Parts: sequence; structure tokens; C-alpha cells
Amino acid sequence: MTVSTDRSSGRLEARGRPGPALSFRRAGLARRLALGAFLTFGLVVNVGPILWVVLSGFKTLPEVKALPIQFLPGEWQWANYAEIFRVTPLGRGFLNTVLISGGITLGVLITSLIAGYGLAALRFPGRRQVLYLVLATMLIPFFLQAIPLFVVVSKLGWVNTYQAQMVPFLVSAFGIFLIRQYVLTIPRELYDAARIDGCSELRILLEVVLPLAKPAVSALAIITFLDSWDQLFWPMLVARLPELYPLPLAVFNIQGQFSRNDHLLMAATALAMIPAILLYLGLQKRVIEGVVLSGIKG
Amino acid sequence: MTPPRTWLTRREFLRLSALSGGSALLGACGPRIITPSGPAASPTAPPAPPTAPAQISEKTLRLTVHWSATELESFSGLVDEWNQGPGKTNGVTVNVERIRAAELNEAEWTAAYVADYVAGTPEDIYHMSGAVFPELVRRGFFAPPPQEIQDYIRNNYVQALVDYVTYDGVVWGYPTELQASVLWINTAPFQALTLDPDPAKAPRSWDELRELARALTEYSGQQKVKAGYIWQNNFPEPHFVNRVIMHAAEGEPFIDMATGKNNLNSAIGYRIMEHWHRLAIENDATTAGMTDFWEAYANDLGRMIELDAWFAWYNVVALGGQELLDQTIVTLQPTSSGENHRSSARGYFFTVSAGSQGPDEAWEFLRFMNEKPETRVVRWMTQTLGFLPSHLEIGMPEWYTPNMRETFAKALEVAEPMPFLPGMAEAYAIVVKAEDDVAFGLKEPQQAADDGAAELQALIDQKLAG
Amino acid sequence: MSLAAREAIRGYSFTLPQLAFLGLTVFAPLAFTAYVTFFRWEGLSPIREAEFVGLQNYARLLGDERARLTYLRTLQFTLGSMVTQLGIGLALALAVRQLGRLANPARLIFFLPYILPTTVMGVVFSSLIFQPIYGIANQALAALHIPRALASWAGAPQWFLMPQSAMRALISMMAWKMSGLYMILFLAGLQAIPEEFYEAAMLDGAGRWRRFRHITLPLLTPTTAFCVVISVIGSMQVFTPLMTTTRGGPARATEAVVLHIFNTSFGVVDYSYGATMAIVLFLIMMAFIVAYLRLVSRAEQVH
Repeated sequence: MTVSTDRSSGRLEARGRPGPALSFRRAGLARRLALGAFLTFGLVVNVGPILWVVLSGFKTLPEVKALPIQFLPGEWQWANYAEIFRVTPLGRGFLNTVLISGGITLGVLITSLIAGYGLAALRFPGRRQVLYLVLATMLIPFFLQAIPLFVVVSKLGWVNTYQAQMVPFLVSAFGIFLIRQYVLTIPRELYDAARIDGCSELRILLEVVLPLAKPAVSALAIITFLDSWDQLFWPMLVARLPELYPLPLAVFNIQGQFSRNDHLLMAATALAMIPAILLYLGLQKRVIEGVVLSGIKG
Repeated sequence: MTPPRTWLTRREFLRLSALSGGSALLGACGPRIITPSGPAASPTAPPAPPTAPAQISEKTLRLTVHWSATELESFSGLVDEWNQGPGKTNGVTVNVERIRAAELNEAEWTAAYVADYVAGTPEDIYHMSGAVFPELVRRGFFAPPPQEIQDYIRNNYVQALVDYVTYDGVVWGYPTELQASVLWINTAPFQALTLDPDPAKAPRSWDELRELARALTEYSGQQKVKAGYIWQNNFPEPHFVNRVIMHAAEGEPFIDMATGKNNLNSAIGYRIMEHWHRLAIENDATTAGMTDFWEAYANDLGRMIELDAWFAWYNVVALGGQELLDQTIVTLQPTSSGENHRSSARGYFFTVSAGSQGPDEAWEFLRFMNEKPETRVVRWMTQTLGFLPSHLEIGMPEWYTPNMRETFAKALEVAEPMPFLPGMAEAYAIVVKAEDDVAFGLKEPQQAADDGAAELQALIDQKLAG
Repeated sequence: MSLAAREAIRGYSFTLPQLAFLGLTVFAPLAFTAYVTFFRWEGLSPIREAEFVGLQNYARLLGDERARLTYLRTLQFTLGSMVTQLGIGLALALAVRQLGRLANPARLIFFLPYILPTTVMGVVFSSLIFQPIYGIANQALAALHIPRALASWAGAPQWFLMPQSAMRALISMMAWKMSGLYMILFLAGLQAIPEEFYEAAMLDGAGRWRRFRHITLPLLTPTTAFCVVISVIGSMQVFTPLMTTTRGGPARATEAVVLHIFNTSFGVVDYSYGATMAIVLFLIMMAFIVAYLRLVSRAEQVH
């Protein structure tokens, strides 16, 4: 753990980030103990269930249900992994999810940045009403939109296509709201100054706001990706062919009405979490990248 | 307060609603939602899915089932026999699609079927559940089979199942399996408790059931660690099915289809609630609050359960292995008197959508899959999934024990038909709520029965009125 | 053209296309949903043939005890979830910032639960973790000697399986999953607070609590407002976690409103009544959000 940690935080410190008021190293013993306990507790509570999923994926079905509880598999069932790829199109599911969730994420980032910036930084009559309208779209249970929306998608001949899984979600009220709230925290003087210099709004957005809003944009990217891949109901309606299953449908393809192949389900889940974890690892530094440094001081 | 149903009122209403911003969009999009096929009208041909093969003479039919990947795989093998054989000759390909069933949710299936139906792109062939069927059949959801298929089904299938799929005089589909509910007993702990595992000594009356349940319940300190009777919370369907069986055994229908009255709080209804109350509260002999029922039997957390035939494969053999099967005895569900035992007969069936692009081809395909001599589907359901056969000429799974064979044969003779009730899934939920209220000590038995009866009656009245 | 007018035009061109798109994908279906509440319609026959019933569906809802309880339960869940998720999320964000070089792995650890798909989480919690007899949760609580009274706040020892504890177990499970998300959002928000404010406050001799109370919290308001709103929206519409754990039971102890709507719309096939319940839920959430955001912006003006 230490090696990779040193590397990543070293990079942070090399940038001269002044660090929070108290860093771990400088803290007193009691404080370090408290933080250490906190971290250990978090590790157990948060990683425990995930680790359990991974371990269960290596067990036989009776071992998963065994009583008393059995922590390690008697024999590591690597065959489970071969089995899941055989019974469900998991590989194709990876590809589809990268395409679908990736596409949705890209679209949401673009549309949210523009509209979120517009709502936060531009003054125009009715902007509060526009905000409320945007928020209102988050308030209706999805499956009630789903049927009318499905009728439209179906009329367009989009059932069993990628666009049916992507297009309806390219604008996200959540994203617009998130960016708007974040841009509100950026001091107005920064883009007002650019405006007086005669910059176009688009340039202000790209060159002033975007660098400052990186933490929010990265957070939005992670959340959008994860949310779009956690959907079951809509893909179930529009993706009826296994070739078009996104990852969760491919995973749940393993579960039947009465048969609960929990060991295979867990193995598939363990694999399915990998893209999400990679994405998070790739973006996590951006999430915390200091606005303070790059924006005001820089 | 209801405005009179005149054209004018509605137009006024529409004009009013047009004032709101959203209804402009509705005008653009609403009619399209409205237009698709009424049940009687012939549905508009759906646009071909972009992925469909381009040949013009070919016809592709969509078949929807709810099985998991492993089951689906072996079933697809059967469908391939059609696609490689007669299907190839006639240019009719059948694509198997799967609908998710992980949470046993009838509502989710209905949602998907309804969505497809109103969009004008219904599936062609359904594997239909009895929970969803009554609601859909009376709305003209299905295409009736040709007369000779109906005759074949009448002559070759278990009578109770034929009744189950008959509506308005039409036999709507091929029953694929038979579910008969019985009492399953794990006799593994019998020796330690000096009990006799002889099937002939299995409990026949409620008193005997409660007594045995009590004897099979074990504690570790304060905590109950083994329960005699498995309470199926989280799984409403068996509560309803068992109600039907219990009322029939006591001498009245649970729901009188002639009058539309439910008997949840009849004198017999009260007695059944009392029985649950004693079992769960006085004897403290159920798994209520202790475990989810799925693993209870195989993990020896609960030792008796009243459930359908599917239990044999999925919860006994698949989870507990041959050993658990050998330790298991089954008997007809106990009654208050120990006499007049009943069981149930239900199952899924294959049928064809009224909106199918090729109902004739679809029925031809189903005939290939279901009829003699191969009887592919029933054979597969019996041998691969361990269900009871719905077809008269197919035997029970080879691995069934003699005791199972004997009990299920008796169960068939006393099978009680399920009431035909639209909104069945909700009826399940109402019954489980009433019985849970008793099992968790939230209500007195009579109160729970009265509340449940009122709610169920409201549902029935609404459904039978509509 | 005046500067304000030009800004307004840009404002519209930045926001209206997205709004129009949402109009097509959300408002049109929403309008349709609102429209069908005035009819008696099961969702299967053409709506032209549906019977117009005026406000009957709403009148029916007023007298529907079971529906009223689902709204109350949903409020209870929403409140419990908001307090636990935002509270833990903010605490995590603040603590993680103290960790220096351990911050990166700590963030990953606390964010991990959010990566587990909701549906799988339901299976894992109900059959492996919150299982009363052999679930890890009870064993861990016993091993750590957590007092019974405290543990029962989280839903122990019967978790999903008793009507008395199922709702608390649900809130605990969701806190496990969602706190990491709020941690990330709060971390992003904390980054936007200029360090100078703290430095100035330290020079003034402000203690940690005062710095938190008078700098962090007020400056975090836009983030907090965002978190409150999305947590309310998410919790009021809780559905999938219920479907995969309790399905509303035992004895309807966890029957939240959206689950009831789903079962009404498709289980009972009473689409228009389900839509009525959804519209009422929509109005409740809208009222809350408008009131809350008004409050927040008024508070901001005071600052």
C-alpha cells in the first residue's frame, strides 16, 4: 500500500499544495491513533462486503451458503470465471457498457457544463424558473416516464440499438445542477474580468471555468458513469438481444426465477466492478485537484 | 362529482390542459402513444428491428422466457431443433429473449409486456405466468390457438391445468409444467429428537404440524437458531396458494368466483389465522424474523415448508444435494381435522401474442415444441428442472423418491384450481401482509383477517367491475 | 444592444437547448403521466377509450390509508437517509483531508461501496451480511462488543427480517453505499474554499470548531444544498434497493411510495392511479425543493 501511496501523494506535495491545516505526519500521537482507527474501521466496513463478493466468486454454491460461515473457498474455483463467460455474454457486456456509459458520460459532461455555467454565471430573466424546470425533471419516478418514452423509442425503430440506451440520457438534470452549484462557488470576479477583456462566453467556459471546475466535472463523470451502468429497468425494455446487453443485464442474466447461482453472480460482479474502479482511479486525482492553486494563485 | 361523460366535457378539459406548457408536447407525442392496436384491432406492423436479418421471405419470431442463463442455454438447444429443422424449411426463425426474473416480480414482467404491447411491438410467444395471465387475457392480449391445438391440450394435459389456462371457453396455451403444493420435511434431526421419519407418521392435522414444528425448533441461549416451520416472508405467492388449498380443505373456496366474495375473514378464515398465530407466536416455531426462506431448508435453519414441486430441484437438490433429498419426506398439507387433504395445480404455459407478426407460424412452432411424440418442452421441464409433468404421458423425474411419487400422485387427485383473478400479484401481496401481521405479532388474528379481507375485497370489486 | 440583453441571450442559448431536450425525454412523458391521472386507465387499452373521471383518482388517494402510510414511510426513510448519508459523507470528507499521504487510498476505500451495483448490493446484504443467524454484521457487532441499544439503531439483530427493524436496516445499507458519494461531492466543495480564509481565521486565533462553523459550513452551502436536494430526490424515489431486499415487507414495513406505485401501475395494472400517486409525490418533492432553495438563497444573501 505504501509504495503507491507515496508516489501519488508525493506528486501532490511536489505541486506545493499547502496541505490541510494538520497533516497526518505532523499530528500528535493521539490524533494519529484516532485517524488510524478511523481508517481501519472504514477499511473493514467498506472493503469487507466487496471482499466478500470477490471471495464468494471463487467458491462453490454450497460454500457460499455454508453454515457456519466459511471465509475462504475450500478450493479456489477459477472455473467459475470460465463458466460465467460461457453462460452469459460478459465480454460483450464490457464492450457495450464502455460504449454506452462512456457515450452517456461524454454527452452529459458537455451538456451539463454549458447549461450549468449558463445557470450559474449568466444573468437572464427567468433563470430561476429554468433551474426549477430542470430540477423538476428529476422528480418523477423513472418507470412512469419509461413507458411513454419506450413508445417513442419503439416508433423510431430503436429497440435493440445502442442509441436507445444512450440518447434519452444525454442531458442530465443532476449534472446541470451539480455544475451550476459548483460554478457558484467560483468567485465571479474571475470570469467577469475575462468578460471585460472581451472573451466570448464559450472561451470563458473552456479556459476559465473548466479548469476551475475540474473536481466537479470529474465527480460528475464518475457518478454519471456509475449511475448509467447501474440501470436495469430501461435496458431490460430496450435491449432484448444478448449482443446488446450492458454489463448489469449480462450479470443478471445469470440469475433465474428459482435458481440463485450466487457464486457465479458474485464472480461476475467482481469482474463487472473493474471498469468502474479503473475509471475512479483514473479520475480521483482530478476530483481533489486544488482549485485554489490552479485558479486563484496561479 | 364526476363530470358527465360527454364529448364536450372532455374537449373543455383538453382545452384547459392545452394551456399548460407540457400539453403542447403531449399533443405531439400523446396521439402516438394512443394509436397502437386495441386488442380487437389488428396491430400495426412494427418496424423491423435494425438488427433483424435482411431477407424478405424470412420471418423472425420473438419468444420471451424468464429463465436464467444456464436454463436458457439448454432451452435454446430445443429451439434450435426448430430453427435447424422445420423452421429452416418454412423460413421461420425463433429468437429466444430473456426477461429478468431475479426478484420474482410479476409487476416487472407486466410492465415490459405492456410497454411492448402499447408500442405496437409485442413479443410473439410468451412463457406466461398465472399471476399475469388473468389480467392480460381479458384484454385480448393473446391469439387463440387453432381448434385442433385446443383439442390436443384438452386431451393430453392434466385436467386442472387445462382449467387453469381456459378462459371464455378457449384453451389459451400449452402448460409447461405442474406445480402441486405439499409439505416438505427435513428428517435429518429426527433421530436426535427420537422422532420417527416414517412418511406414514408425517403430520396430518394442524395440531400435529404445530407439535412437530415445536419439537423441531431449537435455541442457543436466547436466540432461536433452528425453526420447525419455514415462514415465507418476502415471497407472497405461496401464502396465496396455501390459502386456496387450506380453504378448500376446510370446505369453502377462498374466493367464491360466483359472488366475487373472499373468505379471508370467514369463520374458516379466522381459524386459519388462529393456526398461524399459535404456530408463530405461541409455539415460536417459525423462521419469521430469523431467515429468508431461500436458504432456510438447505441450511437446516428451518425444517418444514409448504411449497410447490419446484422446490425439489432448486432448493433441495441444487442447494442440499442428494443427501438432503434422501432425508426429505413429503406429505399432503395438513388440515384442521387431519382429513380431506388438498393440493394445488398451477404452472406456466406457452402462448402467442394477439399482436404477433405470425400467429399461425407461432402456434406451429409451439406445436413442434410441445406435442407428441417428442413432447420436447414438458420432457425438458421434467428432466432438467425437476418439475412435475403437465403432460399425461410424461412421467415424474427419475430421481424423485418413492415417497415423492406417491404424495404427488395423490396431490394431483385432489388439486384445487386457482381462482381466476386479475391483479393476482396484488392479491398475493394482500394475503402475505395479513398473515405477516399475525406471524410478527403486529395484529390479533381476527383483526388481521378483517383488515386483509377488506383490502382484498376492494381489489376484487375493482377488478371484477372493470 | 445592452450588455444585460446580450448576456440574457447567451443565457438562453446556453440553457434552453438542454431544457428542450429534457422536455422531450422527461416533460412530455411527465405531461402524459399528469394527463392520465384524470382518467380511469389501465395502460393496456387505447387511452381514447378511457373513461374521464375528473379528480376522482385524487379523491380516492385522499382516503387511501395504505397509500398515506407509504408516503409517511418514505418521508421517514428520506429523513433518516439524508442525516446519515450527508453526516457521514461530510465527516469522511473532513477526516480524509487530515490524512495527508493516506488520503488517496482512504478516498478509494470510502468510495468503493458506491461502485457495487445496487442490485447486487441487495443480494449481498440480505443473504450474506444482514442475515441474523450467520451474517457477518451480527458477528462483527458481537466481536466488537457494540452495545445492543446502539446496534439496534442500525437495525440489528434482525435487520430486514422484522417489521420493527427493516426500515433502519435499509437506511444503514443505503448509508453504506451512498456516504462515499457525498464524501466525493463534499471534497470537491471543500477544494473550492480558498485557503486564505483559513489562514486569516488562524491568525485571528479561531479554533477548529469555529473555523468549521464560520468558514467551512457557510462556504460549503452550495455543495450542501446540492447534496440535500439530490439526497431527497434519490431517497423519495427509493425503489431498486427495496426490490432486491425486502420487496416492501415484512408486513409492509418498508413499502415506500415508489414501490407501491410500481406495483399499482403494473401489478394491479391500474396505471392511472399509480400515475396519480406519482404526481402527488412529484408535487411534494417540488414543494420541498423550491422552499429549500429559496431558503438557501435567502441565507446566502444575508451572508
